[in-house]
Amino acid sequence: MSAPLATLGEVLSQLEPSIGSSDYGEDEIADLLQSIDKELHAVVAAAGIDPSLFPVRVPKGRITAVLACPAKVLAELGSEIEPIHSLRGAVADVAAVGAAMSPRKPFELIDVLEAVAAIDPENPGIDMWRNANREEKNLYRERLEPLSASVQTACAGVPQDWVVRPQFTSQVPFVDGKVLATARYDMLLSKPGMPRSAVVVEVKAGAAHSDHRADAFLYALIESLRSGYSPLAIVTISTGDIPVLVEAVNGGVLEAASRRLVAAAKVLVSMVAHPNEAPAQQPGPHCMVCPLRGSCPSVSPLVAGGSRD
Amino acid sequence: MTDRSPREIGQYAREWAAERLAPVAMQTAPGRYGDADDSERVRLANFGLTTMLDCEARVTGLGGFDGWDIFKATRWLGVRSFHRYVSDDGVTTVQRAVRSTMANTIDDAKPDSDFVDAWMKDQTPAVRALLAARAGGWVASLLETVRDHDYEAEAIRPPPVDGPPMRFYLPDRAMLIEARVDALYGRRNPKGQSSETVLVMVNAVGVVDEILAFEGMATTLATGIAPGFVAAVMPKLGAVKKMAVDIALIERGLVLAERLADLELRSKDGRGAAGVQRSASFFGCKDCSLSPDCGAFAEAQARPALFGGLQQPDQPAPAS
Ligand code: SF4
Ligand code: SF4
Repeated sequence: MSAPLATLGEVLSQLEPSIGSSDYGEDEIADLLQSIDKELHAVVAAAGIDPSLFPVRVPKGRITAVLACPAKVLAELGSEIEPIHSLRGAVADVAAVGAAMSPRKPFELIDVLEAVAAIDPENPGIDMWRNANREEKNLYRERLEPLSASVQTACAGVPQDWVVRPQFTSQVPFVDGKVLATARYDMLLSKPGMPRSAVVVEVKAGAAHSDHRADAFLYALIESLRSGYSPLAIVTISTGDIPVLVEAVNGGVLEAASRRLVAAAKVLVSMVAHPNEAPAQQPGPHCMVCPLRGSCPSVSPLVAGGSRD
Repeated sequence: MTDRSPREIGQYAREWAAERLAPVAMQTAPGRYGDADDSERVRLANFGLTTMLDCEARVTGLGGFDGWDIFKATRWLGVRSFHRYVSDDGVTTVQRAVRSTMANTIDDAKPDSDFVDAWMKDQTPAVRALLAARAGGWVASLLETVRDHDYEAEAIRPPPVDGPPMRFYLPDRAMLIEARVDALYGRRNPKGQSSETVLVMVNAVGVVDEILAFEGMATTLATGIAPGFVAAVMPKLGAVKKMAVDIALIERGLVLAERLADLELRSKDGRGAAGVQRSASFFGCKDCSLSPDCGAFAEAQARPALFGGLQQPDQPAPAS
């Protein structure tokens, strides 16, 4: 199901009747956990990794990236995000939580920035904002104000008996802790005392695209494996045409996501086991934003010859 | 030894702790902890312990309390909101408990206070909204995780919030051990088998046994009565790990306290981090005052494929 709804509050009211029910129960989730663990046991045993390098982390954000192109993932390690992008991300996250918590009136951008400084004081965008002159501030404001406003509109209406957990980190250990799948949800919403009421909310500072859907299912998988219950839905808030995108969770999407998790873990385990081997280059549309696009022999022909910053 | 009552274990632990930690305690200023200068005091508590378990050297570079922030305020508000949630029948949701606790704190804030009340009062509504979300999330995670592990949510109770901190003072020295109790479960029985369980929220995966040993020991010393159990609630993993508080666990906790005391003393007596074990990690080094001159950090940075990247060792690897 992908249904456009106007606000997060509306989504929650539509989902309430399904709390507690799921076509994928605790036993199925336990089986899925076991089967992933079994596959990863074999992967780790075959890799012959130096034990001091455990745990190999499989962050949700790296699964899609490593399946697209391992060489790009390696090239991007340690690269810094532009301050404005990092600030946009933080503004979107804080605006979302603020709106979900404070139903009365939207926060001004300046309040949101103040809250970003409190929660993420090292965000390079905060210094950029503080040191900006009036003209620069106006430019930044133009980029941040509509974002803050649209995210707040999308996240409005959360009923007060739902608990909002901001920046919730979830971890699932496999192979006795040697492989650790992790995810950080922008918000985890739930009704205390009601199992299977979890709704994972991911906030994007740009428009939604197809990768977000695959990401949503990875969130669903990791949350299911962590808590033992499949979440009710994964909601993506973005600034595109569909600001509130809802993905229902069922057995099919969890199993598909588990295959992606295992495939990505295989690549990451092998990269950690063989740090001196050049990782595979897999061209595709992602070459467009790859730091190696100017020199990579495998670069996609769509990108070769041109460059896009 | 195993037949001792919780009270007897508590008495034994207090006497043994005073004796075992005497060599390190003697290196602090004589007299009462409260009378010592801030720079001479040694406080052995959860933050120092988890820092030590991540990188021993980093403990020697820790500064003192540097004021309130949203992270410190989250736990303060979380514990108090939890208290209200379970003790006030009129408060039926976690969020309402958080909001009312916050509103009361701000209303009662004393001018010029350097406590959390004044800090909270100074914050903008957006920061307060974030704080409320974080504190509510803290309570919800605690309740949800224990409930999923067959604890009855109704039987979970918060620690006393207005009582004295859970501390054990080393006799006549400026050193104390502080317990972190996030919630309690079960019945205390000082004379016989006690089902009382001290619950501690734990984020650091891989060092849970050490945290439990320290907190089990610290609670026993602070109250003089051993709880039956100490349990780590790990919302990130959706897991709970429980250990019995016995003499062996207390001994293990004391070994950790002794090591921590030595590291804390190093920051005061000029020995610093020389010769102390270092263990680089992405988040640890980021916040470490020793990083500009630290060889382990420089080495870790030189292998970016593992550091801050594929491995991101923000927590120690599980002890195998
Ligand atoms: S240019 Fe394309 S193929 Fe080459 S490393 Fe980058 S993403 Fe991979
Ligand atoms: S910089 Fe890193 S390795 Fe060095 S002492 Fe600090 S935390 Fe330890």
